[in-house]
Amino acid sequence: MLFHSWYFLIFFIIVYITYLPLRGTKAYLYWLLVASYVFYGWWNPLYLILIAYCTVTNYYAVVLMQRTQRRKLWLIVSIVNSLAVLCFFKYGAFITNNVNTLLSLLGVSYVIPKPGVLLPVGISFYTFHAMSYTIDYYRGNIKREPSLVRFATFISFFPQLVAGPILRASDMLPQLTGKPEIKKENITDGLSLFIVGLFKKVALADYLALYVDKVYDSPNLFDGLSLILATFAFGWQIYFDFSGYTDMARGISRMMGFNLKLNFNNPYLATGLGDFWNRWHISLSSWFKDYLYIPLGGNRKGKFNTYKNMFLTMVISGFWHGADWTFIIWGALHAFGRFLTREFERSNFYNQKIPKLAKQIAVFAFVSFAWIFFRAQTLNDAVLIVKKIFTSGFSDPQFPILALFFCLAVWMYQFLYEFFVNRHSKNGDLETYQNFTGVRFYNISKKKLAIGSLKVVVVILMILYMIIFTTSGNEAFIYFQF
Amino acid sequence: MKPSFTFSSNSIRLSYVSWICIFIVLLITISLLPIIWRGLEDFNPSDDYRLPYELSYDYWMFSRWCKYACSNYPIVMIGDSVVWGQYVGLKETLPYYINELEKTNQNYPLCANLGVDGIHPSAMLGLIKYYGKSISNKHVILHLNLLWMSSKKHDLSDTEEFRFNHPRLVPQFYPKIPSYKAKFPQRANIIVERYVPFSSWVSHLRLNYYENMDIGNWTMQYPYRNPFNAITFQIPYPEDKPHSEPISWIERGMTKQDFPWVSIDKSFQWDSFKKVIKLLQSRKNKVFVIIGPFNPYILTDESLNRYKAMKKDMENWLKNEGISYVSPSDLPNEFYADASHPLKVGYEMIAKELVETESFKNWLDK
Repeated sequence: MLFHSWYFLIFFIIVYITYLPLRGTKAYLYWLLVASYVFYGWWNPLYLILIAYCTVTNYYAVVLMQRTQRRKLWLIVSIVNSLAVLCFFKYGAFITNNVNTLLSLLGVSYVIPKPGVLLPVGISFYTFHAMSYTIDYYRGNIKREPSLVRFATFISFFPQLVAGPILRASDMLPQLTGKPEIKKENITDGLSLFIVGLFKKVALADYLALYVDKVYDSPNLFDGLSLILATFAFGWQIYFDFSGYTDMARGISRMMGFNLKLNFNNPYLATGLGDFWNRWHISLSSWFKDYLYIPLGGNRKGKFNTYKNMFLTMVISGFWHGADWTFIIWGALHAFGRFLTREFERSNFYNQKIPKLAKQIAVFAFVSFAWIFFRAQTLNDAVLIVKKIFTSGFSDPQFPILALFFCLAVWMYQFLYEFFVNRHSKNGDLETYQNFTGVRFYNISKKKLAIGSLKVVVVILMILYMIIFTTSGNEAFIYFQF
Repeated sequence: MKPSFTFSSNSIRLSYVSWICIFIVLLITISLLPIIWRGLEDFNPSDDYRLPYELSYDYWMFSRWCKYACSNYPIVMIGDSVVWGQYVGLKETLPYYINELEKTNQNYPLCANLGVDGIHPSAMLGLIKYYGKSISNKHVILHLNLLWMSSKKHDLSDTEEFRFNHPRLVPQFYPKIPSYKAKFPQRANIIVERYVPFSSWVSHLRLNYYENMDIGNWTMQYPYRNPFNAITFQIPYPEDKPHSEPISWIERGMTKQDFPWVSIDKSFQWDSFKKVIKLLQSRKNKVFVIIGPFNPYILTDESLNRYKAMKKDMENWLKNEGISYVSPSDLPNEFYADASHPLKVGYEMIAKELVETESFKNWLDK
C-alpha cells in the first residue's frame, strides 16, 4: 500500500477516524497494531508471519535477559536470530549465487539450490528496529517494555514500516505510552510534511525516473553526456524518492501525535563526505554509528583502527542496501572517499580557503559517481557506464529542460534556505545551523508575513501541478526493495 | 518523554490559517478554472461540426460541444462512428444529409452530430449520464449499432479480459462487467473524473495539448520544448476527410462472417441501451431510435437469421414502450464499408428514407 494511492487514502481515513476517539483508551495500541498489520499484509499476508516472528523473538529475548543472568547470551541469540532472518530472506540468493560461482571455479559440479523466497518489503528496517531494542536494553539505556502489544506496535508502526526512518526503541516506546497528544500544529505540520513529500515523490522522483530508467536500462545505447546526466538525475531521484517517503511518513506520524526524527537534511549541500552522512539517511547513519562503528572501537584506537572501523561500517551499510556486489562497492567507494578526505576536511586550508560552493559541488560529484554503482543493474553495467563516461562522445542527451530546471530550482532553494538560516545565525537570531531547529526557524519566518504568503502560493502551485500535470502511476519507492 | 520535534529541512511549514487559505483557493480554482477555460479556448463549431477524431476520448470537450449543440440545434443525434461518419467527410454524414434534406425547415441546421467513435451502448449511457447533462427537453435521435451485440466479447458479457473502447464511461463497480479488470485506484479515479469537471478538464488538457501524456512523458518526447508553451488555446478542428479509406467492404477484402450474436434477454449492451432511452426520457427528451444500418451481406445465412430475430425482438420492445424508431432498409451491397458503416451514398439513402418515414415526421412534429 503506497502513500500516494487510493488504497492508502481510504485506509488512513478509516484508521485515523477510529484512532482519534480511541487515543484515550488502552484499545488504541491494539488498533494501531491491527492497522499496521493490515498495512503490511497488504503486500503479502505471509509477510506478517515474519514480522510477528521478529517481534516475538526479540521481545522474549529481552524478557529472558531480564529473568536470567545470561544477558549476553540472549543478546547474541537475538542478534543472530535477527540477522539470520535478514540474511535468509535478503541475502539468500546472493550468497548461494556467489558460493555456486566459487564452487564452479573450483571445479565442483554441485549447485546449491537458490532459496525461492520473495524479499519481504521493509525487512531491513524492522529488523534494525528490533535490534535497537535488544541492544539498548542490554546496554541499560532503556527498560524492558512490559507490553508485547506496545512492542509489536513499535516494530510495525505503519507510517515508517517499509522505508524508515529507522526507529529507536528509546525514542518510540515512550511515545506509545500514554495518550498521544494531537494539537492543531500536529495536523498542520503533518499536512505540510506530507504535501512536500508527495510532491518530491510524484512530481520530481517519478519524473526523473523516466530518464534514469531509460538510460540505465540500456547503458550501451547512450554516450558520456547522457550517462552523466542520468547519473546526476538518479542522485536527485533517489533523494526525492526516499526523502519524499520519509517526509510523508513523518507527516502521517505527526498527525497521529508521534514525532519521528529528521532523516534528510539537504544532503547535497554537504561540504564534506562526513557532512554528507550526517545529512543523508540520518537514522541509518546514526544506527550504524551507535550499533556498529562505536562497538567496533570507533575512533578510539588509533588511526588504523579508525579507518578499519569506518571501512567496515561503510561496506556493511552498502550491503544493507541490497544483496549485490554493486552495493558493496558503493559502500566501499564511500569508505575510500572518507579515507582520502577525512584529514583534509579537518584542515584549515579546506575549511577556510576553499569556497563553500566548490566543496558542495565536489561532494555532489563524488556522491553521484558512487550512485552509478548503486543504480546500475549489474556490476558489468556499472563498469561500462564509468568507462563510457570517460571515453565516449558527448552527443545530444535529450535530457528534458524541465527536469533540469526542477533540480536546479530545488538546489537553489536549499542553498538559499541554508543561507537564510546562517545569515540569521550571524546576526545572533539563531544558533548555528547545526543547532538549528525547525521550531526556531518557524518563529522567525512567522514574523515574515511575505514569506508566509509565498509559502501558501508555493503549496497551491505544487498541488495544482501534481493534479494537472502528473500521473500517479503508483510507482513504488526505491527504498522498498531494501 | 517525547523527543523534540525538528520539523524539516525546508521552510514549507504552514499554519492553520495558511491551510484554510490553501483549501479555499484550491476549491475556487478547481471550481472555476474549467469554466474560465471555456472563455480562453476558441471554439466556433460549424453547422456540420463533429468532434475531432483525436478528441474521441475527451469527454470534457464532448460536454462542451453537447452544451453548444443543445442550445443551437433542435435535434441532436447520438451514436458511435456510424453517426460520427468513419468513412466519410464532414459533409457526408447522416446528420449532414438530414440537415440538407430539411434545409427548408426554419430551424436549419436541424441536427447536430454528437457521434463519438467507439461509443457502445454501455459507454453511451455513461457519456450521456455524466457528460451530456445538457441534453434535456430535446429531440434526440439515438443510433443503435447492432455490432455491439454480435458476440459476447463485444457485448462485454464475456469473462475473459477485453480491452474495449471508452472504459472510462462504463459502470465501474455496479453492474459488474466481467471482462473489465481495471484495478480499484483506476476505477476510483474514473469516478472522481465523472463528478469533478476539473478532473475531466485535466484529461482535456492532456489530450488536446500533450498527446494524452502527463508532462513528464511529454517532455521526454520533446525535451527542449517549454511544456507551458504547448498550451495554445486552440482546439483541433475536425478534418474534412474520411478517417478511414472510403471503399466498400468487398474492396477491403472482407469475407462473410458468422457472428454468434447475443440473445437480447442476456445482452448487457441492449440492457444499457434501454437504460440510455430511459435516462433521456427522464430528462424530458423525445427519443427516436435508428436500429442499424447493418450489412446483411457480410453475414452467413445462419447468422443473418439470428440477427433478424434479434432485431425483431428489439423492435417489439421499442413498440411496446411507445418509442418511435426506424430500421433503415438494407442498402445495396457496395454501399457498405464494413459490417455496420455505410459509405457516403449509403448515408444519403438512409437520410432520405428517414425523413420520409411517417414515424420520423410525427416525432419531429411533436
